[in-house]
Amino acid sequence: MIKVEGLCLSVNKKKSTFRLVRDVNYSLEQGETLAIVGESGSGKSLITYALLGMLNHLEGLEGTVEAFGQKNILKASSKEIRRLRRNKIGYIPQNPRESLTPTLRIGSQLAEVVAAKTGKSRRSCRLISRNLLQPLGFSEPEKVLQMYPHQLSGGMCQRVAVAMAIASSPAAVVADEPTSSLDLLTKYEIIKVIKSAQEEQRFTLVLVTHDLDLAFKYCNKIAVVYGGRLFEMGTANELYVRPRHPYTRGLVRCFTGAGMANSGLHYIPGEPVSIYTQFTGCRYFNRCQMRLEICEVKEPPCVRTDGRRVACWLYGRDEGK
Amino acid sequence: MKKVPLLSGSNLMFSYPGSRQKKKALEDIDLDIFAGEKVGILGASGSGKTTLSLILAGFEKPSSGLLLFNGNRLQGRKAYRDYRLRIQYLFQNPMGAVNRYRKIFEIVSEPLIYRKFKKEAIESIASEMLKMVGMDPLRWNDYPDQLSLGQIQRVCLARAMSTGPEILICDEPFSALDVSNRGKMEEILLFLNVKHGVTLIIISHEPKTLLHLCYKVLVLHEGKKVDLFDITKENDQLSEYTMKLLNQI
Repeated sequence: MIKVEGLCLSVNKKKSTFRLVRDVNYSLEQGETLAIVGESGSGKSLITYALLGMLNHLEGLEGTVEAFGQKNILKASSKEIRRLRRNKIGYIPQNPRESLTPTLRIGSQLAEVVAAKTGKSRRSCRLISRNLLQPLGFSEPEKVLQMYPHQLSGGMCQRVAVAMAIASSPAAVVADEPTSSLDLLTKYEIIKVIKSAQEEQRFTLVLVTHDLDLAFKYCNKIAVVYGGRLFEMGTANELYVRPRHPYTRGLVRCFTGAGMANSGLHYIPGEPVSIYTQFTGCRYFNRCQMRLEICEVKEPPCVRTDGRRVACWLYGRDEGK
Repeated sequence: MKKVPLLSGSNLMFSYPGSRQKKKALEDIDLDIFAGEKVGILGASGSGKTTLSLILAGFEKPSSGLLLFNGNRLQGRKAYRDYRLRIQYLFQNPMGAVNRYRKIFEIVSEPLIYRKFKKEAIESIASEMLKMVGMDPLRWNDYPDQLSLGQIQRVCLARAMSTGPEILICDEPFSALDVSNRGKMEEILLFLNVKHGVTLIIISHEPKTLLHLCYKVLVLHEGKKVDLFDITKENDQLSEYTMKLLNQI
C-alpha cells in the first residue's frame, strides 16, 4: 500500500550540499504498524513528511513514494496533495495543544475538519464530531465541543487530534511522537485509543517515536534511523530478540538493560556526527564497537539478512571487497 | 543534634492568580530535603509537579505556607535573590531554554559573565563543565540547531552547573530523550550528586526513572501530596494511586 524507494533529501548550505535523508526504502501493507525510531535530529520526522507531501517544494528531494493510488507523491501537485490529506491520510502532531487554534472552540475546529473531509452541512458535521469523540474516552463529548484548547489537558488535546486524524476514515495515519509530552497513564491511554481506532478502521499506522517501549509493544515493524539513514528494518520481534545492526543492538541493550551493572544505566558511548558534517563512510563509525576499516571510507550498502534490511558492512562485506 | 533540612516546605499552598474556579494548584505540601539527597517528584500531568518545582526554585512564591532554606525562612527580595544564587533549574524543553544565535561555549559562559567572573576563569570553568557533561570540544563552537536534543540538554546541564549550585532541580529531564541519551543523562546526574554533592530534585512522570535515580519519592495527585516514601525501605502502606503508577513500569 505504501512503497518508498530511494528517498533522499539534500539541502545546500554554505556552498556545500548536505544529505539529510539518504536512500530510505520501505514498504507497508494495509493495516500494518511501522515505528520509526531513532535519536532526536536523526531524520525520523523528515521521512514521514515525505509521505505527507510536506517536502515537495524542496529542490533536493529524490526518490519515489507510491501510495494511495498516486504513482509518486513527491511529484504530486498541491491540488493532489490536498486531496490526499483530505481523504487518505491523517496526521497526529507531536504537540497537539500548539496545533489547535487557541481562539476557536474544539467543536468549530473539529467541524471544520469534518466539513472539509465529508462536504456535509455544519449541523451534521457537529453531530459527526460528537460521534467521533465518543469512542475516544470522553465521557461528555458535548461539553468538550464547547471548550477551548487551553481548558483541556494534554491528553484530551491529543485525543482531539486523534479524532481529527481519523475523521475521514483514512487509509493511513502518521503519528509524530504522539505521547512524548504525556504522563505514563495518559500515554498508554492515547496509544490504546489510536490502536483501537486502527483495529476498527484498518488504517496503516506510521508511528514516529523515540520510545522503544511503544515501538516493541504496539508495532509490527520497526525502522531504526540514524543520521538520516535507515540502519535496520524488521519485525518488532526480530529486532527485539536478535538485533543485527550495532546501533540497534546498543539501543536494545539500553532498553532492556541486558549486560549492564546494577546501577541500571546503559548508553551508547560517543556523540552522533552532526548531520551538517561532510562524511564519506558510515555515520555510526565513531561510536561503533564493531567497526571495520571500510566503514570509515565507504557508506555501507543496505543488504538483506535474516529476512530484514540492514545497512552495515558486517553483513555486506563481500560487496565491499 | 537534629539535622536541619537544606530545603523545607510546610503547608505549601499555591493557586494561580486569576484562576476563576479558585482551584488550588497545590495544597498542604510538606517536604524536607536534606543536603546531598536525591528526591523525586512523581505525578501525572496537571498534578502540580512543575508548580511545586517553581516554588522550590524561587520562581514563584507560595500563596501560603513556609519555605525554609538552611532553616531560614525565605521572605523578601534579598532572601530570594541570595537563594537563587545557590539553586539551578533544568527546564523541560532544552531547545526553548537556549539562545539559538549563540554558540555552545557562549551559552555555558553566560551565567558566569553575569556573575562578573574574569575572562580566564570563565573559559576554564565553561570548558571544565562541557567536558564533564561529555561534550566533544569540536562541537563547542556549534550552534544549538546543529546539535541533537540530548546534546542540548547536556549543554543546559553544563550551564546550570557552571555556577556551582547546591541544589539542582530538573523538570522532566528525560522526557524528550531517547533511551541512549537518557542513560547518559542519568549517569551525569548521579555523578554530580556523588562527586559534587549536589542535591537533586527530579520531576518526572515516569516512575521507572525516579526509582533508578532517587531514594525519596513524593507522589502528587491533583495538587495534593499522596505519598512520600523511601524506596530503600519496605513500603506496604502506599496509596492505591501510587500503586497504580508504579504498576505501569
